[in-house]
Amino acid sequence: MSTPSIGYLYAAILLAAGFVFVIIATSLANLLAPHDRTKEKLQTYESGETPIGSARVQYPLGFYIFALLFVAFDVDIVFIIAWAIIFKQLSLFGFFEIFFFIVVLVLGLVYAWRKGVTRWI
Amino acid sequence: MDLATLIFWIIAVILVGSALMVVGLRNIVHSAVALILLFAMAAGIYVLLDAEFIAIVQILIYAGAVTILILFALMLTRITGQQSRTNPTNKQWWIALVICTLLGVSIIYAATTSPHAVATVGSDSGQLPAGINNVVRIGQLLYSPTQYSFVLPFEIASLVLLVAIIGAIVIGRED
Amino acid sequence: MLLADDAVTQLIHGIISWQFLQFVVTFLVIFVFVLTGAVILVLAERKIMAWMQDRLGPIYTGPWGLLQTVADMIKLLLKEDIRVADSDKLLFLLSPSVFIAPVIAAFAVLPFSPYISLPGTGLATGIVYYVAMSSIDVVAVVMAGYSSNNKYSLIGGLRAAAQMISYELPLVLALVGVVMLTSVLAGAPGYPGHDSIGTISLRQIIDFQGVWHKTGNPVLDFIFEGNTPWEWFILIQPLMLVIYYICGLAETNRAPFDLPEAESELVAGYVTEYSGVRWAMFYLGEYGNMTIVSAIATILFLGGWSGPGVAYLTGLNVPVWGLVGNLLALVYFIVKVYLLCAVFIWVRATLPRLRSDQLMRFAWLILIPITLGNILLTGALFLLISGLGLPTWVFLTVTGVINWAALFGFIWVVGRATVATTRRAQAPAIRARLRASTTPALPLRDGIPARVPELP
Repeated sequence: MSTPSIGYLYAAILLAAGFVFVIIATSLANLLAPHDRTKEKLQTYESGETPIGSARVQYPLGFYIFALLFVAFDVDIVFIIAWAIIFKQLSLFGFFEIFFFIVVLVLGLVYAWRKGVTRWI
Repeated sequence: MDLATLIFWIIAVILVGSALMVVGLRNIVHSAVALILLFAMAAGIYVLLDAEFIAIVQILIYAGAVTILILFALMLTRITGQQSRTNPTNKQWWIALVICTLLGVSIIYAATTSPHAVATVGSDSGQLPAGINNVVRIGQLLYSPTQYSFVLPFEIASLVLLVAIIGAIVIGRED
Repeated sequence: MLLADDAVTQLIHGIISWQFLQFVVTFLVIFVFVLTGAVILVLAERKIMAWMQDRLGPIYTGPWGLLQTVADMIKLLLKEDIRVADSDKLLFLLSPSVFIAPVIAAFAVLPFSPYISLPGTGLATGIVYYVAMSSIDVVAVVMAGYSSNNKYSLIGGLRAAAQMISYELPLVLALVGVVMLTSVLAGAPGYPGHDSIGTISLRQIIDFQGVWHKTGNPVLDFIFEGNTPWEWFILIQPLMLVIYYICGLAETNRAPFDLPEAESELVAGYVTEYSGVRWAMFYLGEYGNMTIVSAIATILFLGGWSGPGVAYLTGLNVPVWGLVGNLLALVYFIVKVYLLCAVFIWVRATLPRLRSDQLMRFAWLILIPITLGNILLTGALFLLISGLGLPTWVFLTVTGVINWAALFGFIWVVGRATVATTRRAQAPAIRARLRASTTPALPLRDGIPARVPELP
């Protein structure tokens, strides 16, 4: 394994340690905490009322549009970062490349705004 | 077998296992969660190939953004209201098995016999010049007008993203 | 196990090495920092907010209430772990770990001091790595909301996810300006890196803010080596720091962006059904996120660990002084991070919650255009000034001046937008009152309107 990759091995160890930490904490709580389960206690909380129906009903489409906008802009950001890191080297040519790229995406944003997508929530 | 190979095999086993879980789990939201594990493991393989930027972008775009998109899409459907068996199945799994086996065998055959196959891993031929890491190199390859010209594909990518945004809004507007 | 012999020897060689010792030290510091960070921050939050609201805060547990959060922690460990009957058990149990593991993993990218950081030069993908880790948190929030099968949880989870993804975009775009500055500065005399190749590694970005040419005067060298506040990127891009910080507030679901856990309408949002130690995990993750946001702001804009003596002492190559220098660096870094965390608490005590119609518009229509504009403006300014043949410091000064001016412009725009959206939201009520004032007042009989008039 080469030198740059070894850093990610360490990061993966930290990630795994996070999972192990939760397991340790919950099993410790399992040992210490009382276990007294009643039917009422395990009921879904709904401000003291008996819940009616499942919570998993159809949800508004607005969330989905935001997620799609987010995916598009996330890809955009990756490209922008790859450009920004050497932007001095790329000079004028690279600047106009990214300029048109950003302008096209802003067109999408303007369209979303005119259609009133951002008015939601 | 060195450490990198050992890690590769661990990652590969988890990757294939989570891929099977995506297909086989009865609850579709569980499938979506297994998909995150799959993307993370794919990122691990990219790291083993020293493609660190691609690996992190894999986590950022796929494990972060695309799974959110999938989860939101599932929330829109009524199918999540049922407690189990939301991932529909039918009796044709054996046809899929045959097709997948054929496809897998042909991919393995092509990858091992092709002249483009990667013969050795970690040879010095692919070394980057000093002071230039993975991220910088990708930027240079994408944007530089002289070395490799990916300028046109890059600009077209922005149009594709624009079409995706407008399409989402057009389909998404209920009125 | 013949095949695995190589791997085992490699593993042993990897573990018995100075690098691995460095990793173990870093690992321990990260864990202690995450665990004590939450305890200290909860106490600080309660105390500071109490002072701001003219109260005392916790005073009974321990001297001056200092042990209050320790007692809270023990209480949480002793609480019963309730798993709702209707929940999706697998995801319900998994989501606290999915929430907190990326938070701890994101600490890997932070350099605490010259020695206490990942071995080697750290992760080369610094900023992107941090954003990738924080984007996994969104998945955990949706999982928690969905699996509880509770209406409050699901609405809170979806709201939180929509808010977090929307504010993640300006958060990254605000940092791009700094990356561009490193590209401009790289290769200049004294600056690290090769000519015009910038960096997104946090470790190197700290080096870019501490360039000091040795004078030979030990006092000046001691104070200013690696500690040059006039080079901090906050001076050049103050607006980006402010926008990054606002997005950090929204990313961590802190006030005034705490709509997903607005207690008056959604009980506790996506953590409604969690109790005991699993609930504590979500809060640990939230406070961990808060410290990460502050730490990234410290590193990118405030010089990271830099302070008097750090670079000088570690540069002596004497183990004892190196230890002192590293401890100094750790102290400077943690003080800066906690000062920024105190701003989080200050904001919470000061600002009311955003209205839901303002939330998304603020991200998409104000923050994203401004950050994109900043990127284009910085690029255009540099090309213009270098095209005229002027030196880099002119570019830095002009960018700094424009950015400071833009900061005040931003405050003005946000003020106008707040007033405008509030007017629009209140318009129906105001119209109704105007209509009511034109209709004649009802004759009262025993203090009660005589009859209900017909609605216009």
